[in-house]
Amino acid sequence: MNAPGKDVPKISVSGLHKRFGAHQVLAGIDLEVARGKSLAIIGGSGSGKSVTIKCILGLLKPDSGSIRIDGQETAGLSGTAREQQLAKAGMLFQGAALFDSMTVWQNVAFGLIQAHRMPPVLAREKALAAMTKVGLEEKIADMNPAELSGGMQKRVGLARAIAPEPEILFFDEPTTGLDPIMAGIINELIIERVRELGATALTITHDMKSARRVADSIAMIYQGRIIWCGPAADVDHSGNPYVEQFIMAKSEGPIVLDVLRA
Amino acid sequence: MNGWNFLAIIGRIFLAFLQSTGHLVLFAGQALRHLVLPPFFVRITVQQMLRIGYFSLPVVGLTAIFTGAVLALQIYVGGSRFNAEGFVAQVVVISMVRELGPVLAALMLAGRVSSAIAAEIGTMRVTEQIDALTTLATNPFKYLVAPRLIAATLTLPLLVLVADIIGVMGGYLASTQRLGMNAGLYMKSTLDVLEMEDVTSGLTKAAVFGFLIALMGCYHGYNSRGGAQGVGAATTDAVVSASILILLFNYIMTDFFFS
Repeated sequence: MNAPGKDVPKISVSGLHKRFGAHQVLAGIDLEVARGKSLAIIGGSGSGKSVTIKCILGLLKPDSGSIRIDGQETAGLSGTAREQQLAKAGMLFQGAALFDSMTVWQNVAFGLIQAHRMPPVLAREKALAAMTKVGLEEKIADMNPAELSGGMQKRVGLARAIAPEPEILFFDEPTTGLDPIMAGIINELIIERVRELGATALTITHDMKSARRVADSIAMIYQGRIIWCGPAADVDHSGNPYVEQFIMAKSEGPIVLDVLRA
Repeated sequence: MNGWNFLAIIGRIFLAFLQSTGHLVLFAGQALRHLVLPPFFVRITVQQMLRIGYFSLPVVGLTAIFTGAVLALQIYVGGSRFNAEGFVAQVVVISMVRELGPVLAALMLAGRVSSAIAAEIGTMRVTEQIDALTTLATNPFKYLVAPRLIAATLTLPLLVLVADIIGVMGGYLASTQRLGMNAGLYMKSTLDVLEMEDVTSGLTKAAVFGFLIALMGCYHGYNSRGGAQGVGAATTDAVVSASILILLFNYIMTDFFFS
């Protein structure tokens, strides 16, 4: 396969629709992330952020629309072709989603052993190197994830995501549930590791401090559509009443919260 | 009008049943496909065989020995009403090997294994560990479902073989120690009446039951939703559906073997 041109966006989504029963969650998402750039999607609870990222990763099947990675359509991929696309990506989950039946190093090395067929001894070395990069000491390598604090688990999740040196990194609410200091540390780690890998990053968050810190550009999702997208530096003077209400955390404004769903 | 409402309720229940059956059949089809397609996770399969088989030995053994012993006492008492108390050994061995060994071992495993599988996979589902597996380019059907299906299908016949032997020994102990029967005569009667077909039909049943136990655990765990309550419901559903399917398939297979 030919290498994609420089102008081809790393991630390109257009007309993405997804419905659960009678509830239309995504109503035509359009977004692009250029190679090596970082985009944060902001939006309230239930606005469709997680569903968008899960559709891009192939964890959910969209009802319609196009998802292209390196210009290649991935929305209908299955089996080996999908696994090859997934091998390009790493994901940090909101709750870290560490495998509790494995030790810390086995968690970090999992993608190296399973997807990249690396021998366990070599994978352990790589896992320990990835752990060092996120500020984890080697002495916790043989501990179980349940023995770690929330912040440490996030770091292990980040180490697992970066260990296979992916081309794309997805971050699902990376700072949720962390104290401000640990949230700041995780933000810095994300920036450093994404920069070092030269990876393309897509973050979903409702933490504006985190979005401003980790992203080159920000997109706001509301009622299943991207209603504003622009450079992170412009988000404070977007001129969009929805964005203004969201970033200033006002209860009054055009955004109507679905209290029953929240 | 009330009559129509009643019919509508029946219709909805029937449609929901068809939908659930369809989902289960699709899940089983997908699981079977991944059973035969590489890669195979041999180490995990062996781990599961130990968890399902070795660690179930005490509960299956205890069930079998008491069942065999009770069977001997009941047949002796019941049989004495029509001068059939001399057939205790024969009835015990045929009942244990053809019917009680496979069914009771399977029902015990439905409680112990199906629930454990549903709870483990269900927890992985609600904590996004299954999504994490997928993002690490690992198919959850190959990594989680296939090893458990293979392990349960291969292990339950071995467990049933042990249960058969222990069950017969339970009958032997009750007959010789409680009823005063001759030990040598009891064993001779047991071995004389036992045919290979009795054993193979019981072990075939066990393999099918093992598959059903693991399938129900995996299916309900994989499709669990909504946190701790969802995992709890998945665990209950797994045990109940596995138990019902074991009894249903026991009748179907018994009918098939008889014909």
